[in-house]
Amino acid sequence: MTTQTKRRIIKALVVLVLLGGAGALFGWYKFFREVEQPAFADESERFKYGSIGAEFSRGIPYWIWVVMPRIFPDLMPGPGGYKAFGLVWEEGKELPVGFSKKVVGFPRVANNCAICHVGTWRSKEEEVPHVVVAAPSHTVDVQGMIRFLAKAGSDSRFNAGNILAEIARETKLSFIDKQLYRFVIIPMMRTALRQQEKQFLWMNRPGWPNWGPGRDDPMNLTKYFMTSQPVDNSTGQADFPSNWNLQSRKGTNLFLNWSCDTPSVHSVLIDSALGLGAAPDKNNRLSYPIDLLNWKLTRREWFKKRMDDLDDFLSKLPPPRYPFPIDASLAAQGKPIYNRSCSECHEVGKPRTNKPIPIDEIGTDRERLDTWTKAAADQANEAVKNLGIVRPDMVKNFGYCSPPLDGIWMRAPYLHNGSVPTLRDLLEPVAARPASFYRGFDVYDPMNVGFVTQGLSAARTGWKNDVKERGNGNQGHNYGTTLSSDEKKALLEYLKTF
Amino acid sequence: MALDRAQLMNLSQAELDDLFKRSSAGNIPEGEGSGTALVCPATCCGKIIAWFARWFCWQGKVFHGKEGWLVNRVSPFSFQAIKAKVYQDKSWLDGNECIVLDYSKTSLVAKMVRDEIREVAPGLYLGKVYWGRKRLIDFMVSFQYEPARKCWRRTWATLGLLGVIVITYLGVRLTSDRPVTYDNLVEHFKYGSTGGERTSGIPISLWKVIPKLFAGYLPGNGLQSLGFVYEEGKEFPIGTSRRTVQGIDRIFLNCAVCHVGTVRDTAESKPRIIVGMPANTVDLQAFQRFLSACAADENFNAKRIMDEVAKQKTDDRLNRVLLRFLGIDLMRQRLLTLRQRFTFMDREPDYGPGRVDTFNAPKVLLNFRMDNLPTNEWVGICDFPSVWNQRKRKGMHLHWDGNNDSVEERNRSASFGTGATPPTLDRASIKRMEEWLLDAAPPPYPYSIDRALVTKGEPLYLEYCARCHGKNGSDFTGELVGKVTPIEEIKTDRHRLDSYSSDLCANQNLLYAAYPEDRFKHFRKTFGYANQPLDGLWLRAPYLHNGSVPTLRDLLEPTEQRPKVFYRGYDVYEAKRVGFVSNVAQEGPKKFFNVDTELPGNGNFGHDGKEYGTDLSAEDKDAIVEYMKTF
Repeated sequence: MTTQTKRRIIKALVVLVLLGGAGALFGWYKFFREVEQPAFADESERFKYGSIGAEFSRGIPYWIWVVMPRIFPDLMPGPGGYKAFGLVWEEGKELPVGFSKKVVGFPRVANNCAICHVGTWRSKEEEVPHVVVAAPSHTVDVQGMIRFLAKAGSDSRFNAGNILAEIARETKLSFIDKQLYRFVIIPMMRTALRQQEKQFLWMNRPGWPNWGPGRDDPMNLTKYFMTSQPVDNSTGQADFPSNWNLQSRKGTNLFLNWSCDTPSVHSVLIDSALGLGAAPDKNNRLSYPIDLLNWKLTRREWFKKRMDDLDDFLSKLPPPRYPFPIDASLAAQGKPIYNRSCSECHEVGKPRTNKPIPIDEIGTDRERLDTWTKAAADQANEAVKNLGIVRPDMVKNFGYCSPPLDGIWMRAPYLHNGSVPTLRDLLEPVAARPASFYRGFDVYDPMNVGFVTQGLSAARTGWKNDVKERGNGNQGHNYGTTLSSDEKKALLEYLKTF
Repeated sequence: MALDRAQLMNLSQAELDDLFKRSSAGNIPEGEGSGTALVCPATCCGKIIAWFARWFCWQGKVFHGKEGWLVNRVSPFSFQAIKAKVYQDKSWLDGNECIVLDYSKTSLVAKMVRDEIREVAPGLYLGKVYWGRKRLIDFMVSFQYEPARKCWRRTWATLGLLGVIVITYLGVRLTSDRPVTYDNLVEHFKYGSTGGERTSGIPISLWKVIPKLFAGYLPGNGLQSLGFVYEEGKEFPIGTSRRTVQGIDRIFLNCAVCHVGTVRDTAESKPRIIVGMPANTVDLQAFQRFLSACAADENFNAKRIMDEVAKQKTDDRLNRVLLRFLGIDLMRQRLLTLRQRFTFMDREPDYGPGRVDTFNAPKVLLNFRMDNLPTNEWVGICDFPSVWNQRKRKGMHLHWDGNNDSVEERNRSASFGTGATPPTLDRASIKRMEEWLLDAAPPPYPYSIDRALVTKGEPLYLEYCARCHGKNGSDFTGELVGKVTPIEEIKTDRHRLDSYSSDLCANQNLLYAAYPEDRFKHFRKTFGYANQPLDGLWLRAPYLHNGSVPTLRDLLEPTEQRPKVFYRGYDVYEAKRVGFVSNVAQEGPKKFFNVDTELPGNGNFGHDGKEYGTDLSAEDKDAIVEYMKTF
């Protein structure tokens, strides 16, 4: 090799390295540069709109998220953009509650805990809903949203031409950004949505029960996304729980989740957040290596801190007070009845509170219990360990949990599967409980303690829950059903004070 | 091996100088040699410059050695020009012999130039250029080849140059974006641009020919028949603005189309144009339906329209080509899309002049499924409001249902109606309009006022009306002014209220999201109608949010005694009852719009009862009305 050739090769190499470096820098800046969210006024705002770290692997490009309902109105359950999924959308706020916006290269939108844990109530239809942080999001149809995204992703209208034309009505993207959207972001988003559709096939089996608003299938989601367990025949649609006052769920040998699948508040927070997309996404093969690198280098530590903060906030957060008048003397009469009939399992500190009540004893619908297995628990623990996170392990129990009743008025409908619309109905024997009712309507019914679940308005806004469907059974928990009508009244009044 | 042109190109400046010095002068050449400029020798840049120079500036020299002169080939067209004398002399570089090309006596432009050349290889001359005594660049002239591809070069060069010119011209022209501007603020409000023409603008030539070509779809003669207000000597009506976009002059609507109206004292008098009052004669719905009908007509095609446009002689050939092959079709498609999206209008009673359905339009903009809309949202008809005194309205609940308390945000929201989207809104222009609106005031009531009656009416007004509507036409203080009165209390027609939904409210939060300062944050779902200040009240008839009560005097009557049916769109004033003449169905060819208060959204009930003054005696009512004339 002559010196001239050598020199040329060296020159070429230097140019290549420089170009590669510039390209990498550009790629990092446009796709992976993380910008912290602006500070939040308080922890409650942060809970509603703050990131839990899901934007990196599960974030939807903000502008695509904005225009999708405008391009695919026919794939939505009704008019009203994302509001059609029953989302809580506070006045003047850019995003619905439970959505966080963060720049990772470009602005992205992902979900946080509040998507399932911020609820609303109204005293009448003609009223702006009151927003309650950490209440079950009983109006939010998560399954509907998942299905919408899947349908949109596999629709032929999901293409750069349509999407960029719609985006152009809202913002002027730079030439470079437009090309990135056209050739990278939109095609990748489409691939991701189509892939996601496949991952959710199990819940779209024909005749399979729908979640409806305010519910999901938590342990099957955990099973199919965190472990390698095969798809089985179980269905475990369950109510979103409240997650205020978590202090009362802490203690040795106390459990959370409807079937006591987790022995620690911290584990529940971590696993839920990982499930929402904070963990690196293995299924996205293209970005997984970078995702994993990001997780190991920065995100993991940030995530741990975020979970600590969240634990702190939710542990101390008090339950919401009952907003309607309470008859104090009647409530006082109810107290001994509560002590007699309920406190054994529902009073903080009592031996059976936050514990699995064996299924044969409680007698409620067992489908949810059966979705979770020891094998799944072991694999999930392994998966979390592999991510470099230490937390108490998930377990398998054989009964349903007996949680404290803080803020019980805002936790309707009742039982783990939300099969009983009001507290009054829960005190009735199974035969007298409503066989079908509408859930997802947020006008409150102070008479029966629960939301309005019958009538035209409830039918228009809500989703019909049929207790005969698999997993929806309203049997069991036959406690207090034999009380006299006056006793029930007094007990109800007392429960309002929780 | 003898040096050739390519090798010479790779020599550095020092090597070139050295070569020059080592070479002898050689013979004075004869015939045509091809030239190459040597600027920044041996670099990539030098090669590009040489290439450009050869294409566009200098291709070589034609020597007439025996006669002692030469001429250059210059310009992209290889013209023979710029002569020089050729002789042997001492070089300025090293004092040895060289061939000098001396322009000082022969050329005006190159007077200062002196070239020195030496034959560095057989048939290859290296040259140095001097400007005065200063050395500039090197060049070479080669006789080693036939002067090649001159014809091609010329063609390429010409095409290249032309291409550059055309691209520059088209670039400048197609990115053009110039509004027609007005120095006077009132003129600016009437004719200034909101930026809507950028995407929604109608080519002016089409604006002109469409009413002629499709006259059958108009109720009368020209766009005037839709109630548009034309000022004397003006070609375009008030409420239209113009802007040149992509080289095409375009026109579209602005704020004034809904907020400038006319008043006549009698049927014979000339209309007085009043800026800021509701556009009482303008039928926007009819205009929209007219455009839709045109777009759906088979005659809405490039041939029919462009034949007509060609006669106008307004557009040059390029614009005509663009319109013929692109513009007409795009406009047709857009109009048809709009027509399809706006079919919701057909489910509600006709708006007629001076009214619009404000909040079903943004649902269309957000592409809500209008077919699935809850039925209680279907009808949202309401009056155009007046727009004076915005400064005093800051912080009040604006819009009929009081759903927004930011003047600027309300303005941006209304700008959607003029076609201005977040990226196309002309912020500077809107700002000027906003500034004018802050303190614009209505003209005083021009007819006679009974002062004694006013004195009698004032305390009554203060007792019955001031709490919600302010002390008078300029003092807006009052406990409930600008606040929302619940619908159960005001009891007026609730359709407009219901048409604004919390779903829409939520989605509006995303509007202007690309511009965080401007993002919509102030929309609220309310459950009543807002109490408005009454400035310029005499010009704001018919009354109530839906314009269901023709005169002020009628508004003070209980519902049963208010007119059940009346006409609107007539601008002759009825001073006695304070409002426009509402019992005339037709004037000449012009038919007025029949308001049937029985239809959904048109209800004339509410704002009724003891506390609203409808139980007062006729004399007391007259007195209150007289007082309100002073607003």
